[in-house]
Amino acid sequence: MFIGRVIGNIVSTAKRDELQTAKLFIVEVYDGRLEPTGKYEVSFDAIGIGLGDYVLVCGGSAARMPEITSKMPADSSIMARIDDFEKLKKEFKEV
Amino acid sequence: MDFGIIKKEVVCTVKDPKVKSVKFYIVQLLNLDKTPRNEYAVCAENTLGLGVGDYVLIVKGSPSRMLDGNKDMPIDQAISARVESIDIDEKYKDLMKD
Repeated sequence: MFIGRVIGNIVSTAKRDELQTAKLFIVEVYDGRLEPTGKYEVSFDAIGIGLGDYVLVCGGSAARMPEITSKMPADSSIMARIDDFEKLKKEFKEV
Repeated sequence: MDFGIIKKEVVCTVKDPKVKSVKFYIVQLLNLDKTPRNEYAVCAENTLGLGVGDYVLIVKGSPSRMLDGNKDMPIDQAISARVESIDIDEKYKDLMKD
């Protein structure tokens, strides 16, 4: 699992049947200090998020556990949205 | 499995229904002598009732869903135990640092 920020979505028209209802987003990976790493990952949306949201992403077989992605060939899914990232980051620096 | 200390809770209200009851924590990974490593993990914690400052064991990958109550949850890292102490033979003390 990692913390990330949704920075873009992916539009694709020619795709497999399993992916017809999938929403794919580009997520910038943040490290444990809550700073961007410059790496990116394409993730399935399981909860309904928007651009700019800070989210938790799970990978591997866990990506197919949410109801929405359970029948999709997913290996990375967004499964939670972080409430107040700025506050979290500020408090994290003080720890 | 890895060893670390709980640094901060990540509060989320919008989340997958399957992880409704779960708390997420940022865990700083530690050497065996409890000095910090430059690595962190985001872990789920469900039933143990731990908090910031606890030393913990974390489990990665699909075994994290074998923990009691974590079945079918979209998590791939979970806290499995609280660490009270670590004992290492005197001969191997220098292994404790990375």
